[in-house]
Formats: sequence, C-alpha cells, structure tokens
Amino acid sequence: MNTVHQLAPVLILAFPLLGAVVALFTERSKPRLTALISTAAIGMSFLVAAGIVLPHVWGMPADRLAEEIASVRPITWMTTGTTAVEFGFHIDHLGAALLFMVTLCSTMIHVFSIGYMAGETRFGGFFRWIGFFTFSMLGLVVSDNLLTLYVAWELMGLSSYKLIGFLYHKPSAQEACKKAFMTTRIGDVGMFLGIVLLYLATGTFRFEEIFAQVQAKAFLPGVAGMDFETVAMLASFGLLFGAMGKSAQFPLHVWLPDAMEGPTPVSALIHAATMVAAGVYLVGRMYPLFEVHEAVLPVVAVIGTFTALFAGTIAVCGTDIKKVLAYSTISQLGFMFAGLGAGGALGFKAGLFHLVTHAFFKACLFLGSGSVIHAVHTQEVGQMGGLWRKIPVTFATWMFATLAIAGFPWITSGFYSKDAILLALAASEEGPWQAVRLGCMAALVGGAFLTAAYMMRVTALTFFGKPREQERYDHAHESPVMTIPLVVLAVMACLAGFAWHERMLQPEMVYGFGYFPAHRASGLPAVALTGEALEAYNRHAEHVAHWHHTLLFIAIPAGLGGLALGSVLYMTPVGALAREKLRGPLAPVFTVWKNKYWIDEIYWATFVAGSVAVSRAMAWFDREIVDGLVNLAGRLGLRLGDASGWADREVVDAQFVHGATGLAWGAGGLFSAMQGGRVRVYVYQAVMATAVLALAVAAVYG
Amino acid sequence: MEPVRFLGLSPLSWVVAIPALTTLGILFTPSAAKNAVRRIALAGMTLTFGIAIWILVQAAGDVGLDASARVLPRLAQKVEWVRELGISWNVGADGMGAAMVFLTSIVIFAGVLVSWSVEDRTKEFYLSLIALVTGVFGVFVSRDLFWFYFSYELAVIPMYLLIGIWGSTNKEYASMKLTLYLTTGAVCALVGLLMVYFRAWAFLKTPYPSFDLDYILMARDAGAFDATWRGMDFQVFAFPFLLFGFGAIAPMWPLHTWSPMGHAAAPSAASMLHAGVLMKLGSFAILRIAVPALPEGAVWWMPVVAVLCMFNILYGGLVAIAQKDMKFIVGYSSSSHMGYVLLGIASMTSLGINGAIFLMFAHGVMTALAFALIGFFYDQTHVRTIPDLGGMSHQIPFIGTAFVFMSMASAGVPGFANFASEVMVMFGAWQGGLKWQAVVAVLGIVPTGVYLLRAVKGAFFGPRNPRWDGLRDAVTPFQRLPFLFLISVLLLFGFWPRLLTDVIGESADELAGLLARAGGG
Repeated sequence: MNTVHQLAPVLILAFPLLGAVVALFTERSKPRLTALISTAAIGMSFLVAAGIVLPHVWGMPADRLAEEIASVRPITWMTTGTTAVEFGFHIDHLGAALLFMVTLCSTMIHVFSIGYMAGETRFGGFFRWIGFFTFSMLGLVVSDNLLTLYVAWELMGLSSYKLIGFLYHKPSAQEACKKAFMTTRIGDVGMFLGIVLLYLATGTFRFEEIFAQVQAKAFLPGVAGMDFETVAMLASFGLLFGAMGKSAQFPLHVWLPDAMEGPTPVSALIHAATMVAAGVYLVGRMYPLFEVHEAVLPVVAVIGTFTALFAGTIAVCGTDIKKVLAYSTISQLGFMFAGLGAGGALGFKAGLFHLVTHAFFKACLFLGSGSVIHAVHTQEVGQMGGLWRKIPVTFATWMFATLAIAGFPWITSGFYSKDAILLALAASEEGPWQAVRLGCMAALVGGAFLTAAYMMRVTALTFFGKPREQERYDHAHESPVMTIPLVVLAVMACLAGFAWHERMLQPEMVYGFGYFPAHRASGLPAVALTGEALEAYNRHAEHVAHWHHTLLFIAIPAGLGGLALGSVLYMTPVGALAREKLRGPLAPVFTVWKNKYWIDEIYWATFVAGSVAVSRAMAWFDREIVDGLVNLAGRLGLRLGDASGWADREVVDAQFVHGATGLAWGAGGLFSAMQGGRVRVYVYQAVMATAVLALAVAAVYG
Repeated sequence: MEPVRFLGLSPLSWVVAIPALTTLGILFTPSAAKNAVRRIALAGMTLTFGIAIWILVQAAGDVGLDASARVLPRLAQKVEWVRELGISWNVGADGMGAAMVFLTSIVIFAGVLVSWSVEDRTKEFYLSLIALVTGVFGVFVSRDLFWFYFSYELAVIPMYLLIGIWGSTNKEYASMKLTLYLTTGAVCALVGLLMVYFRAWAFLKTPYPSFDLDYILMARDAGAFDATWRGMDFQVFAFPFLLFGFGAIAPMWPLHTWSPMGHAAAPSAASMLHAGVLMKLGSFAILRIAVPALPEGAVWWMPVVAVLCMFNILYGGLVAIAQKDMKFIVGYSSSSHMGYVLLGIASMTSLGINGAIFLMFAHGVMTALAFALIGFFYDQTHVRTIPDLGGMSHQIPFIGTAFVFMSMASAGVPGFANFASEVMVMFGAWQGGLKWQAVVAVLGIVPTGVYLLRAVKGAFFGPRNPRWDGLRDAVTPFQRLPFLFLISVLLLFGFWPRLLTDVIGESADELAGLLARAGGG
C-alpha cells in the first residue's frame, strides 16, 4: 500500500468540499470564478480517482486491487460508554469504479453548467451546491462504515432538496423538493432501523467487521431472540427500503419524475451519477448480508423487474423530454436492482456494471436534453422536431447514448451491462427461486425492447421529421462549453463497456472488504477447489457459458427490434398511419400510462390526506381535550376563588368581622354610656362592683 | 486539592454572580440610556460565556483522569447560610452541568444580541431577561436543594413579566397559564423534595437537617429511602412527585399545553430562553435530583415515562403538522423533540442518557435559532401564520437560508448536533430494551420533516410577494452574528460530537450505573 493510495480518499473528498467552502465566500462577488474553482476542484478529484481506477482497468488483477485498497486510519467521532463510533475511509474496486464514474460525470456536469446556467442570478450558489452534492456522494462511496454512509446519504438528501428547489419561486419546484426529501426520508426510516438492528447484532458499524461476522455466520447473541438468518433478513429489508427510496424503486419512485423541476444539470447529477446510484450502491455494498437469507435477493429482483416495466410503460407516453428520461431512469434502476437480485458474483457484478454504464449514457442524455432545451426553450417534444440539423453535436452524442441505453450490440456499453443482467438472472443458482429469476429475465427482455422503443420515439420526435414550431427551430443553436461534456460522456457511453466488460465477468471478483462469495469459501483464488465443490463450480461455469451464447440471440433482437419499432412508427409514413389506426383500440391503455397509473393521486388520497386528517384530529384533541382539561382546572380554580370570595364576603366578613365590629360598637356605646359623667350611674357602678367582689371573695374562700 | 477561586468565589459561583451583578448594573442605569443597558447586558453575558467555555474546557480535560487530578471538583464551593435548616450556598459541576451551563451561556448571548431591537421599556426587558437567566444558571450549578428550588422559581417569574408585557398573541392568558402551570409543577416537586429532605434527616439523625445534595445521597446510600412508608415503598411513592413536578416543565405529555402557547406569546429572546433552556430544567432536575436520590423509584417509574414520551414524539409531531402559526409549529416541535430526551432517560442506558443530555444541548441551540429567526421577521411582518407569509426568501435570503439550516438540524440531518444526539437516543432506547419505542422514535423523523419543510415552503419559498418588499434582511455582521453563531455551534458539535459526548459521558455512565444497581437498565 503506497502513500498515494492512502491519501486518495482524503484528497477525493477534500477537493470538492474545499471548492464548496470557497464558493461560500466568492459566490456573490465573483460568480464566474466560483464556477471555475468548483469545476477545477471536482476535476482534481477525478484525476485522483482515475489514478486509482485506470491501473485496474489495464490489467491489474482484481485481487491485487483488493490488497491495494486504500484506507485511512479511522478517526473517533464520538465515544460513549463502551461504544466508540469511528469514521474511516476506504476504497476498494467497487468504490474505485464508482469514484471514477461520479467524478467524471460530475466534472462534465460542472463544465456543462457553466454554459447552461449562465445568466442565472444565483450562478455561484448553484456551483456551491452541486459541488457539495458531489462531495456527499463521494463521501458515501469512500465510507468504510454504515454510519458515515448514512451521514453522506442524508447530506445528499439535503443537497438534493436545495438543488431540486433551486428555482424556489416556482410552486412546482417547491413541491418537488419537499416531495423528494420526504419520500426518500420515508425510505431512510427503514434504512436507519436496518442500521440499528445490524449494529445491535454485530456491535459495529464497520463493513469489514460486519462482513467477517456474516462470513462466520454468527452475530452477537440475543437480538430479540432471533437467529442469525432472521436478523440478516430483517436488516437487509430495512436497508433495501432505504435503497428503494433513494434509487426510486416502486412504490417509492414518485419523487424522481417531479425532481425534474431542478435545472437540467441537476437532473443529470441526481438521476444519473449520484443520488439514484446511492441506493444501488448500498445494496451492492451490503451484498454479503443480502445473500444470507435466500428470500431477500429474489425480492430485490422482483421489485426491480416490476419497476423496470412499470416505469418503462409510463415513459412510452411521455411528451416532456425530461420526464421521459426520468421514467427511463427509474426503469433502468429497476434493471440494476433486478441484476443485483440475481445473486452470486454474477448478479453483484451485473447490477453495479449497469450502474456505471448507465451513469455515463444517462448523464449524456440528460445533458443532451439540456442542450436541446437551451436551444428551443421548451421541454415538450411536440414543439420540437428536425433539430439534428441545427444542433448536430448534441444530436450525434444523443444518438450514441440512445443506442447505449437500447443495448445496441457490441459498440455500446449498455449492451454489455444489460446482457450481464440477463445472464446473471438466467444463470442463477438452482433452487426454489430459480423460476422467479427466470421469469424476471423474460420480463426484462420485454423491458429492454420497451426501452429501445420509447427512446427511439423521443429521438425521432426531437431530432427527426419536420420542425413543428418553426420559430423555435430557427433560433436553435449549441455552444462548445456544452457540447464538449456531451462528447466526453458519449465516448464513455461506448468505452465503459469494453473497459469493464472483461474484468466484470471474472468470476473471481470479490464483494469488497475481504468478503468472498460463498462458492469461493477458501477465500483465495490460488487454492484449488476439490471434489464436489469443483464439480459444482465447473457445472456452474458451463451453465453460464451456455446462457451467455443463448442470450445473444434473445437480447440483441429485443434491443434492435425496439429501435426498429420506434423508428418505423415515428419516422415513416407507414408508421404514422399505423399510429392513427392504433390510437382508438389502445386508448384505455394509454390513459392509464399517461396518468402514471394514478399513483400520485392514490398517495394524495391516502397517505397525504390521511396524515393531514390525523394531525388535524390530534390538534383538535390537544386544543379541546388536553387543553380543555387544563382550562377546566383553571375555571374550577376560579370558581373556587369565587366561592371562597363569597364565603369571605358573606360568612367571614358578614358574620365574624361585621359581628366583631358590631360588638365593638355596642361595647363602645355601653362603655361611653357608663362614663357619661352622671353621679347616679357611678354610685350604681360602685355598689354593683362591691357586690361582685364580695361574691367572688365568698366564692373563693367560702 | 487546591480550590479554584477568583476574588473568593469559585468560577461556578461567578456564573451566577455575574448575571446577578448585571441585573444590578442595569437596575442602576437610567431608563433613557437604552444603549448603555444593552451594552451592560452584552458585556455581562459575554463574560459569562467566557467562563462557561473555560468550565467546559476543564471538564473536557478531566475526562479519564483520576479524581485527585481533576479540576472540576476544585470548582465546588460551599458556604453555610442557615445552619438550623441546613441551607448553604453550594455549587458544583460535573460534565452534565458544564454542558448545560455552556448551553445557557450560548443561548443568552445570542438572546441579548437579537433583543437589541427591543425599544419598549428596554431596561425592564433586559432586567427580566437577565434575572431569568440568573435563575437558570443557579439551577444548573446548584448542589443545594433549597437554592435549586429557589433558582427554579426565580427562572419562572421573570418569564411571566416577559410574556405579559412584551409578548403577543393572547399574552395575558399565555403568561398566566405558563406561570400557574410551572408553579403548580414546582410545588408538586417541592413536596417530593421535602419528603426526601425530612426522610434523610429522620434517618441520619444529625443535629440539623440539610438541603445539601451530597447529604441526601449519603442518606440514600445509608438506606434512608429503602423503607416502606405507610404500606408503600418510599421511593416508588416519592418519585412521581419529582418526576411529574419537574416533568411539567420538561414538558412531559400531557402536561405540555402551556409550552407552545407560551412560546408563541413570548418575545423572541424569551422564547429562545424558554424553549432553549427553561424546558431543559425539567429533564435536568430529573437527572440531577430525582434519579440519583431515588434510583429504585426511577426504575419503577421509567416504563411510564417510556410510554408518555411516545406521545410527546409522535403526537407532538403530528399536532405540529396541523399548526399554522410558525411559533406554534416550533413549539410543538419542541415538545416532540423533548420526547426524545425523555426516551433517552427512560432507556436507563449510558448511551441513551448521554444522548438525552447531548440532545438537550443540541435542541436548545437549534430551537433558540428557530425563535430568533421567527422573531426577526415577525418584528417586521407582524404576522406569523403560514397562509399570510410566503416568498420571503426574495427579500430576506439570509434569514431564509438560516431557516433552512435550522429546519435541517431539527429534522435530524447529519452534520448537525441534533442528528448525533438523536441517533444516540435511538440506539440507547433499543439497547435498553425499548424496541418499540426505538422504532417509533425513528418513525418520528417523518412528521418532523413534514412540518419543517411545510414551514420553510410556507414562509420562505414561492413567488415574490410584494407585501414583503419592505422587509430588511440581516445584512450587517452584527445582525448576522447571533444566527451564524448558533449555526456554527450546531455544526461544530455535529461534526465533532466527541467534544461534548466525552464530557457528558461520565455523568451518563454514573447515572446508568446507579440505575443498573437499582435493578434497571
């Protein structure tokens, strides 16, 4: 382990954070400079990440990288009693691939934004937030423990809130940022519970220690009396819920399309390279845990497959170019989840491979759509058309990215990664869940077809045909600061496939943090498997090889077929006629798709309205009942006061006090009468007194 | 062990003496010299803040040292006052006390700054404010039950004046309610205190009784509170007086309704102190007196607290969603957050109690920030209800941004001290066997997010509203200082919680150990 590797995680984090801090001071006075500093900062991070990744791509064996992982000695964050929470950083092959992807995409998005956001009043502030956003994502990737990961995860939620709501004066943007924050937060509740459970089961947040316990199949005893597998399952589902929130899987997908309210570079950042990637990354990172209970990963596969098809169908009807891309993102994330759900080293690799390739072509598509929107000032594809002549570079790069997402064979990265997902599902291990996974595989072939078709539809409507709004068309133009990032990303959309394809398919790939998949129980590739294990391994390899060839004949036609269908329907007179004919019979289906299955409406009617009603009821209860009792006590006190006041007035005053005064008056009258100065009265008094005295003496001595 | 003294008084005594002297200084300043009044207050509170930092640094330095090498015990000071009743001026601090003194000095420092704009009866205003904070400091440093109780009452009475005179929105009702409520609670607690006091005397048979906390604890160790009393376990019988008496100010559900109302009616600085510090007196008193004196009573009653705090968390959060007045939102939010504090205490684990004390600190700073911000715009807008506000970020972007930071801190976003402390409470609750409560506590972050984002959106986002075109933002460094100061504190302890958790940790360990020996935890 060399110093560069040790420094790498710190450097990668420090640059964007420093950029964001500097921006804090310069964003108002020198917005252009702020943009340049931010861009340079993230560019530096990219160089460091590339320094780690490229040797890996060029021939360093996976295991050597696993040994050369970069970690930083943990820093104690807080201690309490017997617990010390330590923060450390760590890069392994999975982290390295993501770092490369995130920093490259983010750099390109920064460059693009310099052109796209020009003229915006808070130009500098925008760069501060996208820099901070990137920092959060990078922090998440280099975390060596669940707690830092959660911190970065939430910081990303915060920055996405600020960025989606960047145009805060738009009511739709305010709603969208609130929705994104809250929806992902609901997911986070599950995730946090998962972390709590895992912490109590293992006594640590650190991946390395958690995985060691997973490998040994032994958690600390006594988590509510549950056995190892149950704890692992519950914790996995908790984490999965969080991942579904961030990665917009059904039913927590609703925030993502609305998040398109953010400026387009933000969409590219959130929906390609960072935020949505976090959920997939989390599942990948925790893969050893997810594998423990056999039912967990099939659930992931089913959720992913369902989401892929569900969102794909909605994308078919979209008319807003960014919304189509948004649903396509949800759908592609579904592919990744499905891939991860396949299980085993193949599934692990497939899901994360698609994560990386998707980031490149989706960032390219989003930025491309930004370039289009910048050119024609509308997001409705109905108002575009024929743009390829006016913005050729945008068109060319968009075309490559579209081919990539459609899985155009051999030259695009999407082909390899999608193929890997299908392969992983098809060649999954035998057992009761195999049928489920094969079903997912079949459905995803349909999904791949759908993807190609709707992407071709949007492409046709945007770039081909006649301009539908001549004025917009006439003013359309593109600028180099925006097209250069497009070119870089389009190149990556093709190259990323080759670069990782070979390595990704090595069965020896490890999950990270020294954890090896089950079939490599020995832990080292050099140790030869023997006996049954060897046989099983060979059988599996054969199985994989078989499916690898078969799939070529399924996946390629699906992608090409989709592209062909889209082109024919939207670019030829025959297609126009066919669409006319089909519009009637297919109307009910399109109504459902256009309304996005009414999920938003259902949520409003149930969860939102329900929680509002509950909170109103609670507020009423608090005001009328709880406070009512308090006021009642207060009023009783008043009554008591009144009563004692009455008693004071009527009894104490009237009887005693007034009585006493009356008595005093009477006595006074009597005494004054007695001293009236009349001799007769004095004599009478003297006689009486003598008599009384005599009687008293008699009584005492008698 | 050389005692640390300055001019004959321990720094802990100075923490009370300086605010007291400041009130005197203000008292003898003419009413017309408003700026002089403000400066005296600021100078006094800056000095107190300095001492509080010094004490905290000493506490941090003490962590892990032998008893003989520690500085904190050298700060204790005891001066006999009334021997026959056993009353003495007796101050002392542990990690928990140091953290709370630090919190109070932060909040009052910011509070003095944001009150700069008070023009109506400025002298009387500052007089009440500083008198209040004198009482609060008194509670946090006192180790004599008499002075503890005296300071506690001293803190409540100026609040009555502050709300009644400088308040808004139904202020007469609110001030009366708050004062009566808290006084009733205090009387209830007094009954408990006297029970403990006489019981200890009767058992130890010393010539005179004593209000000294150490005397009470000595009696506890000697078994004074173990006997049954009229057929009931004394501890179980006496504990609820202290628990609910102090719990009223905590505020424990369902004794909470004075609090949002009081927050709403109070002027900014009073709200800041009220929510930031005054509420913490309740949970502090439970930890400082009730639990150490009657640990077995605590073990018996904590399951009840564990249930009640659920109402605080969820119920408070849900009620906050339905509020329209910004101050009511933050008020109910406080009630909800204090539920986490109670949960941490109820967990009876070191982690949970540490988190609870840390959260008292974090929430104090955060909520002070909230009320300072609301006060800032309310002084100008004279409305606080959500449908009337909106779009203010166009005119007052600095306040808007600070409000978003506050909301994120309150919603438990990492990076702020609130996150670290709430996490500790949640883990502590689970460790302490309160699994369902831990789940509810985690779920509680959802309503928190809802009402805060609703407040942010309702007040600051949205199209430009010409009605607010005249609003002035905080532009000068002096105007921004209190807000930036509070945000920095939240971030500092959010990114580096060890600064506090280590200090608090030993107090928490001690309390948890005590409870464990009493059969809980």
